[in-house]
This record gives sequence, structure tokens and C-alpha cells, in this order.
Amino acid sequence: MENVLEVKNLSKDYEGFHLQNVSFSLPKGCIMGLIGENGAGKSTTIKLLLNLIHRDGGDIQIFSKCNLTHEKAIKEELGVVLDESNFPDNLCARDIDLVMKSVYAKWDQNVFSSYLRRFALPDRKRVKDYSKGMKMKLSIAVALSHHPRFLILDEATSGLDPMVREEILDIFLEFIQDEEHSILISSHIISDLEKIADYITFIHKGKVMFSEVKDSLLEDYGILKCTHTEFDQLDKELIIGCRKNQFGVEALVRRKKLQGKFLIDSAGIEDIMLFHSRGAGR
Amino acid sequence: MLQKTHDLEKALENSLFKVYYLFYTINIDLDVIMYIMYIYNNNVITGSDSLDIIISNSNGKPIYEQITSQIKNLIISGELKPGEALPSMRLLAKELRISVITTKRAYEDLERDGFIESITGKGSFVALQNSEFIREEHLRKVEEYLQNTIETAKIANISLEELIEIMTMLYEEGER
Amino acid sequence: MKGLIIKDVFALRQQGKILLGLLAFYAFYSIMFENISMLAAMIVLLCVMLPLTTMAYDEKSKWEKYALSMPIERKTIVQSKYLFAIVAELIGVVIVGILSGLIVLFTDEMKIMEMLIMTLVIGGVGLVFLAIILPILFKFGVEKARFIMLIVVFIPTMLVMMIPHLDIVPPSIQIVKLFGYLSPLIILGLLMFSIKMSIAIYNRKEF
Repeated sequence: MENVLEVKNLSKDYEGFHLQNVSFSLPKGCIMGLIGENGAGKSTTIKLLLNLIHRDGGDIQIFSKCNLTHEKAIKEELGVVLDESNFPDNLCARDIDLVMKSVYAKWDQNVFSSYLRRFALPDRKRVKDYSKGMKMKLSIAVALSHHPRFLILDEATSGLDPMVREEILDIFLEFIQDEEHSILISSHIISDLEKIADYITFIHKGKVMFSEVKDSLLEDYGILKCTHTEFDQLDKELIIGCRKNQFGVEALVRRKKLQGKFLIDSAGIEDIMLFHSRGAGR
Repeated sequence: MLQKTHDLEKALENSLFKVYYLFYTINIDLDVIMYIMYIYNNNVITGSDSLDIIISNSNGKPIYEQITSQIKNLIISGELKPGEALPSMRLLAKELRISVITTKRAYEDLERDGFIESITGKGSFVALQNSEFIREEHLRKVEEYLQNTIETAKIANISLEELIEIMTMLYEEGER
Repeated sequence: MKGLIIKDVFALRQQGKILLGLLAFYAFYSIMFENISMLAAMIVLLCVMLPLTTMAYDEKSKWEKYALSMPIERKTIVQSKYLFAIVAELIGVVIVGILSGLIVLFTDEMKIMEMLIMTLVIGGVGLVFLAIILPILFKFGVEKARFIMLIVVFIPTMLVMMIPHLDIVPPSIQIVKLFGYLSPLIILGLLMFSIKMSIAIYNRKEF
């Protein structure tokens, strides 16, 4: 399958934070969830994709083109939603329509106004007077109204109520109906991604812990529940992370590697993420 | 109490109906199957045209397996007829709010097992041939339903003899 | 470019009414008292204020980060600000020109030539201010640049005020004239340099 996004050995050094050799790729037609705790490097990665910050190493290809040399052409086909509304307060949806008409070559006023109607966004009301959910919907409407092929969303659903999140997830699933379309979405709200994502990339402390097909993650990992003595006899290599309490141990393991009879519960993406960052040490 | 017994009887009748129907699909030729399907459709599933696939999150089974088993059931029960088009993978994913890769895997498994055929650019269709594995699949179903029947019968205190009697009656009724 | 300028105009719409009101007040004031210098000074100030205000809006809404995720080059963002500021300033100068023309027409306090020179000088000073201030704004952002701007505005003012006390021999008329003729070139060069510098600063900026 052709990749819409390819990231290789991406690094960025900040004082006190390093993004180290981040590599992953997203096949065309799929949704990838970028997960990790706050400050793990999700936003940094997305900023690097968009060339908002300068990288210290690595290579990024979007639509099989370098994101630096073909920046403008790539961005014409990119729909971007950042973690907050970025329109100056005084503008209303009609103003934004006019502005975007001269920003994007393929801006479609009909599509935009149909999204405004669908989201029940008043077009004369100033952005300042919009609620948070409305602002986010406006950003999404803008991101979808120039016939993009690839959506990049940074924490787009965080801080919204469940109804709005649901509505937005529907839009994403609609967008992906065209097999040429792909989505990269970063969030620390995993329940949203657990349902719709095809791939999950987990970034922890600036490193990619895994980037895999979601279904195989759910299949491969399990939560072992055992006693302290059983746990002590286990090969520590098998343990990805554990949580000990007074009465027993819970540990994240790869099901296939564990021989013998154990009580293993299925692990959700959230469990996998939590245990990974917890580590086997503690 | 009376209501409960009534419900049990209903459930029993339903599962027996399925068994008798399935026996038929194994042995009897197409028009009889069509006839039975006609009865089945009119009696058991009244007026449901849409394709129903229900995904449970608490069910231990992986989601793609839930999809394959339900589509298999729909094909075996005849609700999905040979040659009939299945919803596209993307539409199914959208409606069920699951990942495209999951539906893709389900369809791939169904294709591998010979239940459906996928034609690139056109979509997926219920496979035309009803060969050995369908019979096996049917047998498996029969066993499953019989198991249910027996469990229900035990709760209602219906003896094996009685059960066989009902079954024979229903079976012969269908033969006529 | 066009989109960015349209956006700035929209963003200022609300502010624009207040600005026009102020402008009308000072225009009225200057005509009543037959003194154009107050109005001229105000216009220079407003011209410096306009790009500053739009940049403050941009900063508040983190617009630039968003704009850069669109097919807009960094260079274009810088150029659009300069263009916007220069056009706003030119409009201001034209208004000053018209008003002073009116004053000259109805009174004979000043001669037309004198009026014209004064308008041009004010326009020139405005452009020099822009050339100095915009790179600072791009470098530090509006919030941090406020203080630096105060210094930039304050020091020359202080110097001008100190000149009479310093006993400097005033330059000869020839030199002043030469400077006057050369000043358009100097200002143009200064602006070009300023744009180049702003682009260089902006290219290195991280969002």
C-alpha cells in the first residue's frame, strides 16, 4: 500500500526535551492515532510535519514528497486542525470564507457553507461569541472545505463534550469513505481513537514506543493477573509493565510469548499505553 | 409465571424452527429451501429488510470475528442471498464506528472461507457456490441450535422423548 | 497575500470605527484651530499602531501558526504586513495632504509648498518608524516588543528635544536640501533592508 505519510528518524532538540529518531508511516486510506501523555512529543511531531518548527534531523515525506521542498503544494491538499481555534476574534464565518478563497486554490464555498449549515454555525456571528465546540467545528469545516486528501488534527477533540466529539468522529469516518483520504489525529483521549483508528502510534518521552495496527495491538497484548510468587518466577523479559498491589500483580505481557496457563485479560489501548510508560522497573 | 412459561415455549418453538429449517437446507433442493425461507422470513423475522450486524464490546471475541460470524449466519440463513452485494468495507466501518482495517480483515477472512467474493472496484458479493463447507457450517449451526434447544427444554422440564416428538412433527410438517 | 490582507482588514473592522472617529475628531480640531501638526502626528502614530494592532490580534489567536499550516509562505506573511502598513500610512498621508490643502485654501496661514513638504516629511518619518519597528515586532512579538518600541520612539524624541540645548551648529541649507532629495532613496533602501531582515528573522522563528 502507498504511504501518505512517512516519517524517518525525526529528531528535534529542545532544552530538557528531545524528540529522538521518531519513525512511522501511515498508509493511504487509513486513520492513525498519535497517542502519548501531555508533553510526550505529539505536538512537536505534528509541528515538524507542518514545518512550523525546524527539525534537527530526519526526513518527512507527505504524499511521497519532501515536506520542505514541496511545502506549498503539500499544504494545498492538507486539512489542518490545531488544538484551538486560531481565527482572530473579530472575524465571522463569512469573513473566513472570503479569506480562505484567496488562500486555497481549491477552496469550495459551497462545501464550506454546507458544513456551516450542518454544524448549525451562524455565519454572521463573530468567532469571539462562539462556544468552544463551535470554534472547533468551524476549524474542521475550514479544514475540509478545500478538498484535502490528508487531515492532520492536533488534539482536536480534547476539551469538547461527548456529543460534539461524536459528531466530529462521524465527520472523520465520512471523510475516510474515499480510499484516497487519510487522517492523522493526535489525542490524549484514547477512547475516541480506540474505536476509529486503524493504526496507533504511541510516543513516550520523545520516542516511539510502538506504531502498529490497532487490532494486532489488541490481540498481541494482554494483562496478566497473578500472585507475587508467580510473578517473581516469570522471565522479566516478558513483562512490559506492571502494577503491584498488596494482594497481587497485574502486568502487561505479549500473549504469545507467555507459555503455560495464566489468567490473562484483554488489554485496551489505554492499558497498553499506561503500562508501557510505567515500565517493568517499578 | 404463566407469562414466563409462555415465553419459554416461544423460545423453544423458535429454536426448533431453526433446527428443522437447517436440516432441510442440508438435504433438500433449492425450491424447497426457497419455500422454507419464505416461511422463515414470514414467521420468524418479520419485516426486517436491513442487514443487521451487532457489535459487542464486552463480548470477549475480537470485533472482526463478530463480523465474520454474523455475516456467515446471514448467508447461511439465506438472508443474504448468493450474488447479493455486501456493504463496502468503508461504509461498514463508518456505520459500526470501527476501524477500516477491522472490516477489511473480516472480509478477507470471509473470502478465504469461501463465503464471499471480492471484485476490485466493484465490491464484495455473497459467493455463488454452496459446497461442502456450507454443509459443515450448517451442521455446526444445527449442533449449536440443538444445544440451545436442549438447554431451554431442560429449564422448562421437557423430556427428551417429548423433544424428539416435537422435532419429528415439525420435520415432517416441513416435508409435506 | 490577498487573503492575509483581507484578514487584517476584517480583523480591524471593529477597531477601524474607533480609529476613524479619532481621525475625524483630530481633523475637526486641526481645522478649527488651523493647526495641522497635531493631526499629522496622530496619523503617523496610527500608522504605526495599525500593523501593531493586527499583529496583536494574530498573536492572541495564534493565527500565524495556523496560517503557516496553510499554503502560505513565511515570506508572504512578512510582506503582507509591510504592504498593509505602508498602504495604511500612504492613506494617512493623503488624508493629511487633503486636510492641509483645505486649510491653506480657507486661510493663508501657510503656503502650499510648505504644506506639501511637511506632509512628505511626516510620511517619511512614518516609514522610517515602520522600518525600525517591524523587524523588532517580528523578532519579539507584540507583547515583548512594546517596551522596546517605547525606547525606539522615546530616544529620538529625547534627542530632538535636546538639540537646542546642545549648541550644535545647524547644517547648511545645501546639506539639508541634499538630504531632502536623497531621503526617498534612503527610506526605500531602509525599507528593503528592513523587509529582508524581517524575513530572515521570521524564517528562523518557531511556532
